[in-house]
Amino acid sequence: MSLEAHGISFSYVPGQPLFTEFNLVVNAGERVALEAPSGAGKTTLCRLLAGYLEPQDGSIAVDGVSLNSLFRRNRLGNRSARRLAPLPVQLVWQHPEQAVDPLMRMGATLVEGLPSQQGLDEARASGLLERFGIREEWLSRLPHELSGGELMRFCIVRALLSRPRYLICDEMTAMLDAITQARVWQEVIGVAEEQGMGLVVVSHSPELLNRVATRRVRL
Amino acid sequence: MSAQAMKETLAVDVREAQGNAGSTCGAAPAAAPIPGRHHGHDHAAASLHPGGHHLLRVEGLNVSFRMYDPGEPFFRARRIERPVIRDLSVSVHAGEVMAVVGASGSGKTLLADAILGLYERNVRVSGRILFEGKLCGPRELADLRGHGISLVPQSVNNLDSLMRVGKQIVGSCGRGPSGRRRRAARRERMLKLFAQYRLAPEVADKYPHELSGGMARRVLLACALLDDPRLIVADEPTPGLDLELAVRALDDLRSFADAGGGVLLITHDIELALRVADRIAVFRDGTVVEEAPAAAFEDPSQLRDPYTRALWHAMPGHGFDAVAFDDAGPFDAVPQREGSDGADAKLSHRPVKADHDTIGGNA
Repeated sequence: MSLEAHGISFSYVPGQPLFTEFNLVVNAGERVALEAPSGAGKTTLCRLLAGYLEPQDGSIAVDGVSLNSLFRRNRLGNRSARRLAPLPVQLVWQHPEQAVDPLMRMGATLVEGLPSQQGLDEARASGLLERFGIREEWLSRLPHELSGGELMRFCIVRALLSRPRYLICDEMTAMLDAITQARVWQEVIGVAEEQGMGLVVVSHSPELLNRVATRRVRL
Repeated sequence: MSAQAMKETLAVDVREAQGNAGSTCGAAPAAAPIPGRHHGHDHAAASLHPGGHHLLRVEGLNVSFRMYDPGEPFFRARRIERPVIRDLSVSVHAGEVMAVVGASGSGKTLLADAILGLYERNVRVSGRILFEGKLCGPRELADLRGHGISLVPQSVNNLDSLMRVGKQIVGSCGRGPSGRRRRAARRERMLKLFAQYRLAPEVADKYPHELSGGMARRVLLACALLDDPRLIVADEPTPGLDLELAVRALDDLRSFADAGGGVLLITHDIELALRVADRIAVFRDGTVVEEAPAAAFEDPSQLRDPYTRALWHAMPGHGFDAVAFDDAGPFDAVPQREGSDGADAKLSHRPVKADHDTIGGNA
């Protein structure tokens, strides 16, 4: 049970690869910190692991199944479904205001990742709304009516609702004040331990990584 | 903050406002750092009063928005007044970095706007703002903008993406021989600033999208410094930068303060603020709950306010505790004080709420 990247390479500009032959194994229940100077490709690696980008070389596998075949299976199996089933790897983006549809109510945004029709009831039953302090009245609001920290909590719950096996946190709490940051991490780590989820953590703060990570990897 | 604590701070402020009504702010002996508590805040070693006054002093600032009641149905909603900043007092000395630290979305940027005299149409501002000991109304604040007080804005998006960086920094200089002379002088000054802040002269000919995050920050700083300000207001200058670049950006502000200027650093990141600031003002629910020297954050017992202590314990380097600092808990820390705890009765001691064009007029 692990999220594995085997010998992946990626470059935006041909001839200037961000990384070549990079290997990473994240086991279930582990919290891996990615360390690298700015511009070294931390965010790019996060996007590769979550399937938003495809590596030019090498492969990424989730619990033994490659991301590519997961994509294909989703497409074939749900040809009639309006939405694809969520991947078992979910990414929490660095800037929540850029990761939500500005014209969609937050309630709809929250259950975007759920295939079923009774999305919101399922979300309420999961207890995640209370754990992350999301209030009922926020569900009818538009993104610009919430603060950055509140939006970030929505994005985290949106990712967790699809019950991912691996969660990738790219500077997840960089915008939050220290108290909210501590509270958010407490809940995320709690959920991860309950469900045996593996975490990949990117942060600029070494102290935060000391607190959160169980292992460190240099890019 | 308890009602009792609120009354105490108010009492201090009112006394001071009366004491200072005629003279410049404070009776501090010039150039002598005063340890300990004094006119409502603690001092850091570097905090000086050249000329016997603060560089910037904000007293009892209230900012509220007139808006339609969002809790009512659309057609029945009446206008209400929503306070965002309440009775805020903060001061910046020459030669120091003062950090205002608070949660995102708590109205910190409105403080910057108030100091720069940038007001929305539906805003009401009251209180006193003194710059170099002189009481400033909105017109004076507008005149000071770029001629004494400069803003380093929050986002790199504030640069014009279709204009070469050098042209933006030099700005408009007018036409004719005098304009050309002015432009040449400003260009020369810009290149001097570039050298000082480790930017290559070629940067002037680039477009904003060709700059890295750290370079863009320094360009924004150069924009602010070109006008030779005495006070810089920096609004969230670090998000999106990694630790190394963020520290460098803050070091640039630090060196400006060391050269005798004042910096008001507005940020949510208390760890970074503690690296450069001389003093920290903790901002919560629209007001400053505590102004303390940065050294006080080495030991939580020196911090008076329970929220500040909760903040200290929540820092990853300390306890990383998500303590509930009051009944509501951190996720419910939304100001809900309207007329609830007697604070409003006390507010009547403040100057009567005035429209923005009379700010400072009740001195």
